[in-house]
Amino acid sequence: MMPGLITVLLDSELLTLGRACGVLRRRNLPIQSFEVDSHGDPGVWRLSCVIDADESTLSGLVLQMRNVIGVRKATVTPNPLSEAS
Amino acid sequence: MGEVLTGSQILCRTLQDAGVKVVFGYPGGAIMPFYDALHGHPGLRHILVRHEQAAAHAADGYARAGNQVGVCVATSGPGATNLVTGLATAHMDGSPVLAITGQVARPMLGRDAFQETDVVGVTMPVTKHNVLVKDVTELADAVCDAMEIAVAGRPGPVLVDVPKDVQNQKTEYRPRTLATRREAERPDDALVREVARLIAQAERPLLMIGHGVIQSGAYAEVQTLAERTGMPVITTLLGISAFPQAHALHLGMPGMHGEVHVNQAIQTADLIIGIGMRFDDRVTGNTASFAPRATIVHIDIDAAAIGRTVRAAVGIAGDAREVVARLLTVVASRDCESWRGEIRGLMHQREEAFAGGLSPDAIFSALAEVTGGRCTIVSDVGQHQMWVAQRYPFQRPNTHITSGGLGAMGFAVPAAMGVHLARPDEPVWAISGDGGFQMNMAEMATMIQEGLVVKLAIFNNGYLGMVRQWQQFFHGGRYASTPIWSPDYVKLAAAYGIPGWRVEGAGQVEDALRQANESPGPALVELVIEQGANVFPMIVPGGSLSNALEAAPV
Repeated sequence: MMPGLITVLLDSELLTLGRACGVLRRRNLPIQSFEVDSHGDPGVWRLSCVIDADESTLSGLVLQMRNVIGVRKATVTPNPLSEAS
Repeated sequence: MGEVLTGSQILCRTLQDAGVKVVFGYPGGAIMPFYDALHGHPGLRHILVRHEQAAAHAADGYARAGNQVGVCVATSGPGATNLVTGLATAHMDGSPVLAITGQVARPMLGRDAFQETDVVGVTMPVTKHNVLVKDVTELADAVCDAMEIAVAGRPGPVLVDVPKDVQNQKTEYRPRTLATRREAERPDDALVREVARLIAQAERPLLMIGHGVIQSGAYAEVQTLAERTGMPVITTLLGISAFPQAHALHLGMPGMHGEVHVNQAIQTADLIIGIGMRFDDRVTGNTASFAPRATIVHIDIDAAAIGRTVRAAVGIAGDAREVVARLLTVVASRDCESWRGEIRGLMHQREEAFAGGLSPDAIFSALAEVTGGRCTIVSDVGQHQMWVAQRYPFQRPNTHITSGGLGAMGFAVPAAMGVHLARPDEPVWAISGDGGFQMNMAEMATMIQEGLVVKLAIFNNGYLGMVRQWQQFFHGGRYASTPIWSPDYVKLAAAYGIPGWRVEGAGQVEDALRQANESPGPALVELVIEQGANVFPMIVPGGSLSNALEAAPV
């Protein structure tokens, strides 16, 4: 398995962030890094999370994220470390 | 300038303007302003339950039977936490329920005030959306947003938590028209054509339909698809009554307690088209050995459900009715005579002995006879639930309601109260075991006080039967804490003013069920069944659908 980067743009509300974290928590996946920052747009936060999981698991996770009320966009970038290098 | 109203009046007006007619609830300190306002809104009928769990289950039953949002109300703290099982049930089964909870006043939030609980935090995993409203000017929109979210896409429960001082604040009320149910994305034509091609090529195709067919009202489309192609139809637990049981193409229920020929058909099929279902673990058994020869097509409103447990060769995210309707425009007529003959060859009878001849078959054929099939069956959770699913001859759409995903004992009695209010013109039978009935039997008082006509059938075997079955099969027959004492149910019912009958043999069953069914109000029938009865067939937990138990392991 290679790490994948999940990027989630969400309403800048702790409630929405809590729901998004709930999706990650329930799946019990190995999280390598977790970061929340402002996206630049007012009212939007960006959650970036590197997870060690296969591509289909990460794709399923992104689909679940898109079901969370307050999530505006969720994407997965497979193998972000190789892209960075 | 519109009317200036208090928050609690706005809550009532918003519900009333959204078309809500019934709310199930229980008053308490932090929700008292709402109840005070409710007094001035006679168009909102309040049903006073005996426990908030029942309010949530009743709202769920109302939502499922009436195809509309069911509403429940509770106070802060214990009132709100008591809703949780009902919300979790609605969450697992995709039922649109709106919970309104009172909360301590804003200055007290987070200070461990009397009856304060972080209800938004507690219910986050079991709701589709929840919100604490901190400003009365946002209250009407919060309720409308919640109701729209409850029915959008895959339906689910939502919760609006309202601090007591917000209920007392005043602001201008601006009515808002609820958005109509959002249309699902149009299915991809190329994928639909691919499904038609797979159907044309398959030698052993199956349709497997679930709750999504009921929710989208795709009965006619699915039946047309089955009849045009000759594909046999399997109904999941929550898909039961989406297709007539007596139809020549209907096979039965799959999975852990599915009939052997149904599971064998799955294991032999070369194409399975799952519609409005999610291939959950009770359906698939061990996913590694599930349908080893089949190409899987998965059609569901929730894109995240597609491929989650079983890999789908073709996945179409969309409303079942719309996708099947489009499929009908391209699918070619065919038959599956040879395949259906193969499946018929897998069918066989199983000998089962029940004391007094009081078997599930005897009970359900009598019930179908006395109701003429004109009733809704709400089952609880356990052995009787599986017997209902396997053997009751459902013929009409959406007449079987149960707690599927969560498997919440205690569901049937309160959920049936909600069904009665959604369908007041026909009988509703709540079928429970002796364990599940005792969880919410206090709701008999609600039935009497509120005039709710619910017929109660109790399968009494003196055990928590399904757990006893597992103890017999997998725990060396050590029946730890499963024998369960019952009161005299006939006397208990009489104490509530409800007529009751105790049935100990097959010869008494039809007469008792008929009298109960024809009784003008609630009625109770206790069915004393074989103590050691087991539900067969059974796939052992985590086992393959190919290996069914048809007798207790020695």
